[in-house]
Amino acid sequence: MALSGLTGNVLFRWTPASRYQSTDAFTDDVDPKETQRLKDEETVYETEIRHKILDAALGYVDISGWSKQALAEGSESLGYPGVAHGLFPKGGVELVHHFYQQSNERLASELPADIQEAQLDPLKAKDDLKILRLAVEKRLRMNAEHVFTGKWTEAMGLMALPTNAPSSLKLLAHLVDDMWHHAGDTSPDFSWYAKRAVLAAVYKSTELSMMQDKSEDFRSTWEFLDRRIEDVRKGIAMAGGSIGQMLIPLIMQS
Amino acid sequence: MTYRPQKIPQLFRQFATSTKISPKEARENITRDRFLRVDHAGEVGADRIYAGQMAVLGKSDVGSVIQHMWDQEKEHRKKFDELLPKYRARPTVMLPIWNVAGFALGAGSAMLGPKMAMACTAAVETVITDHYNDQIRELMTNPEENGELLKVISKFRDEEMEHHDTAILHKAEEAPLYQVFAQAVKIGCKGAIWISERI
Repeated sequence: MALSGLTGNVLFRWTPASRYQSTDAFTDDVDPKETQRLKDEETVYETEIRHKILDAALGYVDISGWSKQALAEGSESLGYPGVAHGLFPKGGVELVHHFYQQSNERLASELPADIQEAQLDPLKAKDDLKILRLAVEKRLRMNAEHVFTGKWTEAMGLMALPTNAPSSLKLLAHLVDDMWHHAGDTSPDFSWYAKRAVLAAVYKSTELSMMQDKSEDFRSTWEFLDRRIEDVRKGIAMAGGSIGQMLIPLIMQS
Repeated sequence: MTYRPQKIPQLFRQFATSTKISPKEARENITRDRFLRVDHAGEVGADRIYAGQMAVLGKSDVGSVIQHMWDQEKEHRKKFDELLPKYRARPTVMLPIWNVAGFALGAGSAMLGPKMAMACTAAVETVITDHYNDQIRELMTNPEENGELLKVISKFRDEEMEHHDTAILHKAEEAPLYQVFAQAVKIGCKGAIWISERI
């Protein structure tokens, strides 16, 4: 009795058509799938224009900063009216996020080749910190042009504003996730979070150190990065080989 | 059982527009992410429940039955351990908690006797089977792309079903207060699923 009670064939009573019957939202004749498709198309179209304007506006950051001004100049250079910056209700920070996102994507696509060139192997456990070191330096170098002009401090400030922080943190999270992925991380447990948290701390502190670095080719920044990576290595060794365990004393202290 | 199309939170939709993947693709990725995360969490939990039961009942006469189910759950967990990094889904934040809660549920129910342990198994596997069926239905909207997941989940669904049947055969329903206990466990499992899908 109980055996057949559960099998009750829930799976086969379901048909695609019955899918929307239970909700009241779709009482019209409009096919919801079609509505969704149109909405998607619109989104794609708008996204494309936004991307074009943002790309163009990046060229004006050196002069106008991460501002509506730069967005307006960017859209004018493409022949759109200057008020097209109204497409970006959050203003300058959208430009920063676009740049951040673009650099993240570039890193993700170029990193595998770089790792191979440096003769590192993501499958080898002892290579992972070397890969991370390489990835952090590569990613920070993408910001270098804005660090030179002094605009990156402004960008970091914008990203840190409370209203912008959630999307900024998401971008940072995606960045460190990409880095760990290419370093061959496959952890399915809580150390997934520990690893990314440690790397985010390393990345962010090195980024800050880069702000005040006046040395040639940011030499002291890379030395700073080496020391941070060394800290991580020591921490792992102390905790007996896993980053997850390394975090425990840190949490206990605080 | 009614089915409702899944609503994508505004937050994700907003994010989806800032990247170059299409909105449809983004939606599918998010759904797959959630499925993998919650399934992985579920299998970790199941593994721990059987570990708890074995710790108490390992030497009793139902020991070999539980051991067999536990071995299968270990296989399931291993599979999702592989799939998670493969599709780059993140594990749930609650993992350490499910770890402890699963073991406690397994050991706790086993201490009340083998029938109670079986009642716990039956209740948990009922929820899991339903849950897998829900996922299969949603994945079937795009069977070509979700081929691997469909295969894995269907196979696991059948095995979970078997566990449920085994538990009933071993007199789960004769446990004292079976209905009350089973309902409580089911509600707990559904809560865990709800949370694991999200965080």
